[in-house]
Amino acid sequence: MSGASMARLLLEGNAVQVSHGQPFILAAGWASPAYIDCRLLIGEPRLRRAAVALAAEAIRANFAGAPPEAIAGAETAGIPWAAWLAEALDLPLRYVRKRPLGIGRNAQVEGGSVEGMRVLLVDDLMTDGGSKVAFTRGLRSAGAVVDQALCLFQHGTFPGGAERMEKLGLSLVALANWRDVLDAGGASALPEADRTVLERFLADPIGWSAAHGGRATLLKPAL
Amino acid sequence: MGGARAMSATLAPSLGRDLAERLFDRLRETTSDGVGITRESYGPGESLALDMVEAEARAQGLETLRDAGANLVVTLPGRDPSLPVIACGSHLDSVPQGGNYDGAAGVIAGLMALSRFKSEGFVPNRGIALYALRGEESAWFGRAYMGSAALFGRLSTEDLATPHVVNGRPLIDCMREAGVEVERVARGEKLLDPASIAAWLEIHIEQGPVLVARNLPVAIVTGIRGNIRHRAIECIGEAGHSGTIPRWLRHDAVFATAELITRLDRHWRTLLERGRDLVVTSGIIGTDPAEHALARIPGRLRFSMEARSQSIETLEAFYDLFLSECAGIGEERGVEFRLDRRLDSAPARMDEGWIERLRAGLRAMGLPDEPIPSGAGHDAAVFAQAGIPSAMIFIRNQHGSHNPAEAMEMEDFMLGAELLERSLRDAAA
Repeated sequence: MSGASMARLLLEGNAVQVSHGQPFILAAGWASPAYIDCRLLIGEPRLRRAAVALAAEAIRANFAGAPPEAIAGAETAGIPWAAWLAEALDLPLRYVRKRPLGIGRNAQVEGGSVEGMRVLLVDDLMTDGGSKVAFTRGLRSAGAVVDQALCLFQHGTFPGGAERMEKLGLSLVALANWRDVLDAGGASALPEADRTVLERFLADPIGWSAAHGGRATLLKPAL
Repeated sequence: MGGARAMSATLAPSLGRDLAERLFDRLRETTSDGVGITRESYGPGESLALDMVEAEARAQGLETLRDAGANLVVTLPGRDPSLPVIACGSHLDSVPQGGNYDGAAGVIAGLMALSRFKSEGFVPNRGIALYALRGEESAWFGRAYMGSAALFGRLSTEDLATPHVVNGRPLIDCMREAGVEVERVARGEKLLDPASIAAWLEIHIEQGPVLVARNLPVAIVTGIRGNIRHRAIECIGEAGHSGTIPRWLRHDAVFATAELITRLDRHWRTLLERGRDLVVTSGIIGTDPAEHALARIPGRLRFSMEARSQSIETLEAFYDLFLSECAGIGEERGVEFRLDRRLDSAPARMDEGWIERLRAGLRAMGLPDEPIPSGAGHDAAVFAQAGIPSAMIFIRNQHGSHNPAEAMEMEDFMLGAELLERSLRDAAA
């Protein structure tokens, strides 16, 4: 339900880009014909309000048993989303850097202590989970309990993500994925040509990457 | 004779400045190399300078001697010879083609004070000694503070064997020729008993831009920065064609090192924001000219790294960050940072009591009393590390140091010299 709603917001915000020529090279070298820029939703009050409402609902539904005590935004794009969510849920806000700056236990976390707090990590996207590892480690070094995460969009196309989440013990809720985009996009929002390219890509993302100049294998282990 | 003394008492202020100007000028004339000043450690220029200062000291009626380290010592004996003396001074050697004030300012300021005391007939309770030290500069043998280190038994066999950077002769030979008792030095014997020195006061030009920027003629030094260094770190990646290899398959040693330096710069900024004292420099960096090429991804880069701080804790914390970034970038980019031997130089804190006394002295002179750290190393660090309460007075100077354009205003120098004289008079009384 929320998948379709989130996908529609992305399409409305022109956050979905499909290329028929030069592929997008994503994190770690994976080639993709498709690119999602959630940051474009930040600019539109109506769209961002709707996305935040979906996110808040997802948090209540999925983490009812152990509600988060603070929201931490992953730098940089996760921070505004975390801020609006923290406001919506009336929770403390923190943000977390990808790597430590300076010395001390809190070298990665800004906004106050997270010692002993259950912190929910918020980021806009998830590709292969690599950055989530860095954010989670940073929060845990500062004493936070981190087993919950939320992202607006999960690519889900490249290997390593699920393994990383499991190794981290991180339960990730994603509001939408490519399937949702394909299902939600009518002819005007998503032209037939784009749809075709996406279907082909989703059928074999690794093969597509290899065939279009990107990475062909997961060379490094998941963590 | 009596008339001359009376005259010298009333004309004392200008006599002091005259003495200083005369000595600076004569030093410049006799030890200039045509471009700058060259007073080689344990060499002829340095010996000439010591002779000149000694001659002037004797002309002022002061007692002089050469100690076991071949340093010049000018003394004003005290009423109570059992008391440890107040020592002052600095070094008289220079770097090749250097400036005239680096080191010499401290020696001349001390001589001015002792001359004034002598001409007044002031007999202090505890003696005052002026040291014109040899061998402070590292330019000649790659080893700094040889003269002061020798005084406190800190020159190792390795140190004594280090070759002169031009003629290759070992330090021990050059020291022997200059009159140093090298057998005692080689045994690690202290040539000077630290307990016999109540304090070490050293005047020196700042050699940096801070006093000029802050409009301070004189400042008191809080401490001398220590450092952690690596002379030659190698970043090993993988060479390849610059056109054909996509970003995610590269192990570019230059980009990896650039990222390391950028990250270290951010850490440095953050540490400064949190009030820590730190400077970080990569002074030598480069790809191998035998193999580098415009169209070649560099597989190898060599660079130096140095961090300096007054605090060992800050140095170690920054070093930990450095190691962790090397490991992190190594993993992310598939490169290896190979470290050579880590070289340490301990920081030296100046004596709190003396810092307060000197700052009060500046205030009494109607001058601002801001303290600043010393980024450059000095003999005062060696004295401090030997357990002697030590202090430094910085004099503002222009155009930096270790170059022929090094400059210093006599007005600034006179203020520093006056502070030294007042402090010596009070402490030795």
